[in-house]
Amino acid sequence: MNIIETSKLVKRYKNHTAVDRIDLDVREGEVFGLLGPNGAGKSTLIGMLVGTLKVTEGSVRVLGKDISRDSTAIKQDIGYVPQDLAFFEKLSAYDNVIYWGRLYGLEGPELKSAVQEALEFTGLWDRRKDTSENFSGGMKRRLNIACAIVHKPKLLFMDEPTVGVDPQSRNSILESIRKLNHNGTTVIYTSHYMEEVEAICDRVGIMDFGKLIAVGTIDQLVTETVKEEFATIEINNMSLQLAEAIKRIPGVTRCERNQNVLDIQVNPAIMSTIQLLEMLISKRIDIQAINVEKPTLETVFLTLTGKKLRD
Amino acid sequence: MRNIYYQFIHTLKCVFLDYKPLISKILTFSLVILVLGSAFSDMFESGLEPVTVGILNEDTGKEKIADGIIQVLEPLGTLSPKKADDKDAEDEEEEEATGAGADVSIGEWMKVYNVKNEADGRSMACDKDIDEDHQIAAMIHFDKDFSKKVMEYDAEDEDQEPISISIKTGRSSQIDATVVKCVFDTFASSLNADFAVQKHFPGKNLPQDLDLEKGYTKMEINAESTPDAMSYYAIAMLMMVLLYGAEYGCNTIADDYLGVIGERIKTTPIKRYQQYIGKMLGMIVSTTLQGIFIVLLTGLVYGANWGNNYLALLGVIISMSAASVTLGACLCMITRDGARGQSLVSLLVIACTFLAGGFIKIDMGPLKFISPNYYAQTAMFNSIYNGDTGIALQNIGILWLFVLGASVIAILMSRRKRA
Repeated sequence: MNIIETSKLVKRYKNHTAVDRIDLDVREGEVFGLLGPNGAGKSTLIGMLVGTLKVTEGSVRVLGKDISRDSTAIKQDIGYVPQDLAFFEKLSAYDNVIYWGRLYGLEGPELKSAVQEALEFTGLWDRRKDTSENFSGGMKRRLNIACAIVHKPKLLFMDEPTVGVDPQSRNSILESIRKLNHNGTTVIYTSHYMEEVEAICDRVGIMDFGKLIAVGTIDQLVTETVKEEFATIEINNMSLQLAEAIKRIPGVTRCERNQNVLDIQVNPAIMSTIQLLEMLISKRIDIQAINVEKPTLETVFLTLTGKKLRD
Repeated sequence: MRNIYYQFIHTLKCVFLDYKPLISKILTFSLVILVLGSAFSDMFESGLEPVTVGILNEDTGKEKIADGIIQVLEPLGTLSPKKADDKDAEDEEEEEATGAGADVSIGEWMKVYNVKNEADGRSMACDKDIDEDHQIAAMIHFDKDFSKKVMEYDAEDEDQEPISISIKTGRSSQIDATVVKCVFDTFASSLNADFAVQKHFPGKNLPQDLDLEKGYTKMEINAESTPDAMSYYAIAMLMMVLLYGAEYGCNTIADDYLGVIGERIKTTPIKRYQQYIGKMLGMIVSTTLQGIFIVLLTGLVYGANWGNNYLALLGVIISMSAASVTLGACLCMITRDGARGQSLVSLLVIACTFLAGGFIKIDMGPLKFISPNYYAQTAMFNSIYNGDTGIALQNIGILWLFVLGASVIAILMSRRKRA
């Protein structure tokens, strides 16, 4: 079952189209990663999905309901972790989570137990009475998450929840997302950190210039998108002539020399990296080291958008 | 209702948990009231100290016209033939108990002292070493031929020198000299008028009682009971504290509507109006509580007069708090920027307080009407010093119109943003 369905979704600001005819399906129970460079339209898309931005054209169904008609009912079952810290710094962690719990209609013992659960889940129960302005960056991020999960949402939107945190806190946050997902929460996750997305996401959507340019599992995206192989070869007594000769071999699409090291890109449909190496060895080229790079999501992103994610 | 209540409680908690700036604000204003109330106390003194005048009566004429003049002045309360310090203590006590002497009369401004001779009078007017009880500001001298000159005076003879009463001033200040001169100018004018009437209409006298009261328009604040400096500045600074409630309005809109917390709240099921009403009520009550604290502090510690009508007092404080908070919310919504809204609020608080005469007691003319402080102050002064709840209610009503106007503008601006 799809927990989110959009059809020809458009958001336009005067002459600028921030989201351009997006058709997206997110399945219940998955962790869906949304990738894209700055200004790609990710936040605008999420804004429409959580009901804070009006849809210009198209339709959005969340949890089986139309967001333009049943936004209050939908909001009851979604959680939102914004990129910025959005809680009251003068209040304690406990009071903050109580506040957000009440906004979702929780009261009495149910509220108290939900708050305890959320704070324990994020590892903040022992510091619950401390004013949140005194928390470290990682703790603040975790409190930001606790405020969003206190009502046990079916669908959780997380907009770059690990920005500016130390590796230890990041691992803790990623671990908690896995746990949430294991407990049945569907997660929409945006991040600039490719390794995070690779670590926790079942499927990924890549956005650029307001369009959704690719959707699928990481393996699918790599297989379907990356058609070439990448290798780094270190050669003893490398000469310019040799580099030029390798560049002219059929199937080699790119060959860049950096002293004794060559960055090579080959088209496996014509010649695989292995075949290229066999050829070089047969020509008695003195190879010192070889590194064949496995294509990653970063490679996919680079191939599709022509830029690195953090550009 | 439940959501409104929770927003209300949450707002109170946010304001009062951040107690350090709150205490600092209250203490600063308490100090400002003390400083202004002490520094400008002289400006609020309504009466003049009586001027002591010496009278040297050397008139030897058998008609004793000088004595007559002194006697004529006596019933008007202008002069007393007694020495100033001869006044019976019993008389003074009686005046205090009955409130006699409360009406402003010439007698309150001038006391007389019978002088033995000119040298004695000169000494009392000019010598530095003379003790305070025997100092005079001026000496009125009736010479020995005063009666004779009056009797021989022929009004038909235009070459004749006019009859004069000699007034000699010594160490007297400009104000003292003016008081003495004015009293005798007035007296001489009335005598001259009487002579003229007698001349043209023999047997006809001037009316004895001239009712000047009817010529005056009663002002909103009764001249009989005006605030002293401490009470005035307690009220003026209370208004300033309440107007600073605009900061809460501005900050809350900046954070909870325009800011990241606002964006997050929009993803929750709470209705916007529930959030707005709850927050506004919380901020109004927070501001009102600060106002009540200032009232209690200045009333109990500085002895500021807050009157007896506590309901009206509370009404003004609540109304002014509501006006301030909605003004802040409106400014933030117009500027769409918390920092800019905040700067504007800081400027407006100073400007509105100044225009309403909060720093210096001056009338700024029509400009004062743009300041909400003016309406709140007018309501409060009339409630405390005039007992006029009608004017107080009228001004409270204006404040609520202000609240309505600011709210409408804020809502229109919020709709513009959403569009």
